[in-house]
Amino acid sequence: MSNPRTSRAKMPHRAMIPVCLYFQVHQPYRLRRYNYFDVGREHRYFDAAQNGELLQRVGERCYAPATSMIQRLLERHPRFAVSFSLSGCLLQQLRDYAPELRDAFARLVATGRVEFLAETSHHSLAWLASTDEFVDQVNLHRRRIAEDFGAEPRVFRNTELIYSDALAALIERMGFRGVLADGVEPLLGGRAPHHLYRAATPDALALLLRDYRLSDDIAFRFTDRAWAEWPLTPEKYERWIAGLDGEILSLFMDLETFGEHQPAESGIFEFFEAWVDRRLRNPRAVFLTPSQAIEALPRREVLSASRPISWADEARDLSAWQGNDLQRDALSKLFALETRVKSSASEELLRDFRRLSTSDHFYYMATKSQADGDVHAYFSPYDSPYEAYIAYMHVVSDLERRLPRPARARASLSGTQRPSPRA
Amino acid sequence: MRFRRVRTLLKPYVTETLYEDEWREIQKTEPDEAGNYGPDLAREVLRYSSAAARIATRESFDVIHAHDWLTFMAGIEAKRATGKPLVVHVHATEFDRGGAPNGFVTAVERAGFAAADRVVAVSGYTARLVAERYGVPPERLRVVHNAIDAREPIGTWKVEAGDPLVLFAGRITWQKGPELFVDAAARVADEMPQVKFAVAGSGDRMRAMMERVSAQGLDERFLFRGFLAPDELARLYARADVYVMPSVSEPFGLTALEALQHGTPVIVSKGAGVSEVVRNVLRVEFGDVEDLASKIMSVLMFPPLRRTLSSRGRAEVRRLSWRESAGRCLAVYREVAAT
Repeated sequence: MSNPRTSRAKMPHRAMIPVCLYFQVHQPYRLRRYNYFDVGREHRYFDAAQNGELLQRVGERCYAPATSMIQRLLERHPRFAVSFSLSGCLLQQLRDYAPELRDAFARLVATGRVEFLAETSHHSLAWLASTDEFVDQVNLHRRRIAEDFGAEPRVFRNTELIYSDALAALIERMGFRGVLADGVEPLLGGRAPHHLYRAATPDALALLLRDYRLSDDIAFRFTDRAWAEWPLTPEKYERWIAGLDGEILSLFMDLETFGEHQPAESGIFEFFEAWVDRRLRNPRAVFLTPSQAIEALPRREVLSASRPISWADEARDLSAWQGNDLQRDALSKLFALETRVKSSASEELLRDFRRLSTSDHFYYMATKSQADGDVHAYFSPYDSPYEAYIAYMHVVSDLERRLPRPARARASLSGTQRPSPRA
Repeated sequence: MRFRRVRTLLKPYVTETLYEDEWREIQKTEPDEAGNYGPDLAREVLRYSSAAARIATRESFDVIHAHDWLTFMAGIEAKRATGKPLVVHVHATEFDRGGAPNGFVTAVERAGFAAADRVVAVSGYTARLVAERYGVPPERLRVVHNAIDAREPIGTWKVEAGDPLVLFAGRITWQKGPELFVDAAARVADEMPQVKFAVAGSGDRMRAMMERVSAQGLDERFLFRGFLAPDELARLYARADVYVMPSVSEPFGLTALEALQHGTPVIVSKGAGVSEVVRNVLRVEFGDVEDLASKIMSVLMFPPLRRTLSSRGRAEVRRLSWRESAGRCLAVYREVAAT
């Protein structure tokens, strides 16, 4: 395979492109096995044992060693910086199951070179169903990050990098300084992702785009022996990067890449640490957080996404969560309850409602086949998308039964307020 | 292709009792005829196998292919007479049939497996069973899944409106889990007063199944249709809202493919051979009545689920064909003919 990145790398002494790292950290509240007969008698929807166990496991395999590695790199290199987005679901589970890991993240923030990004509190699909709920969840997440880390996120990334012009416009109105998206072709139209762009919003919100090839070389292909470039070495990776033109290389991926999606035995930790060390041997090399990049870099042209994009699946659109009837039905059934959940003023109902809005539930219901299907199956606790849908729908039925009966006037109102998924 | 007919009373899924009933019946009605057959199942199997050996010595061929224990002896005799390679094909074993295994049957099965150059199983499930219970080594074991050929729904028959219908079709034997179906039906019937249950087929547990239906107070909700001609069964598949196959042990489960072909959502036991070739079905742990009932109701309650199972299931079986399975059998023939 001829690789343009390697051929360009031969040019000596070009300016080193700064790198912006962002790691997503999220674990959903997975549902328990829930069936028709549980409706009306079992109001605990989430599998506390499984969620706790998984968090412990991912904590041991990934969060603990990954945060230590990043801590070491920050201590060793004054020019190293990273950003994280921690979902509210994860934060709550860290509080409940692994408070020492929350402290590990807090120590990273204390270095002053770690930025936390904003997202929805529940890593949710709220943006696709209800603007009100979306805004509520973003604000809730801001408060959580402030409480737990004393940080104030200034840059937004939506669940799974779901992005559109309409999202950017709302994010701008909410006072954020920038937004992240995947550097996909429909958005870039032949341009390179290695610049800071402007979103199609009134004030041209800063738009930072992921280089999905170089990100996925680490996140997906690192252990793929069928890949022509396997094994990926720090030298090879740095050679590709050193050959790039542009002002910023954005590498965005799950933190779970380290030790969970790619097992420690694959050498993923050693690879990453060695790559950062190697890169920073060059005195002109630098890592920027999203806010620093937005501050420092010139802004290029306006890019527009009239249709939503995301970083998921081959299609990089909404099809990972809203690609079939099951997924659309489930989301609309949940959000049909929003008004009643909110007017109930019950913390518990609202908490359950929000945990059900998490994107993972819908991801498990995908009926895609082949490569995408394998990735969905890897993440899913269910045998099939149908099991995921059935459990979810019965849970939503139970949630509905727990809602206070609507007053007559409100009943007719809620009938007209049923939201429909939109971009 | 040439056929050499052997007149015999052997037929698939026959048991010793059923055989003896039939033989006695023939003795009464056609006493001249009766002398042509063995007085019991074992002797009829032996008679049939010596006929096979005679035919084998007169014909020219490369491979012997025998299906299930009833014809294994015939395969063994033909091999002994000619030295030609033997392929035995397992559609069900004695262990799938439940109860205490019949010693004669398992002995014949073992002899067949021992004599065979290759053992073909209809699913990975059956291949594992044959390996574990009979000690057949993996190098002689092959899987050739059953299939179904694309066909258009019969006539222009329209699905008649009416109450939601849950269908059980197949032999009413221990292996097929009829009691489990009735127990799940009782749970569904309590929750959904409109739902009806249809049973197509017959078998040695039919009476027991009917008694269980009565004991549960479900007489009004059940329709026993008996053994149906293919066209009638096809109509029933098309009319049903969900097809349930709660087998205890299921080497394959071809009826699940037939139901899917008619766009009917299917619920099968986990481990059923058929679920190795289709993904768009619901699965239940065998014996989990509550989960089975919940899944039946889920299909009836959630139209997007029913539509998705129906359209994706139908599309999935369209990709299957007997031609492909036949090709796999031919490959097995080539393996043994070459050695």
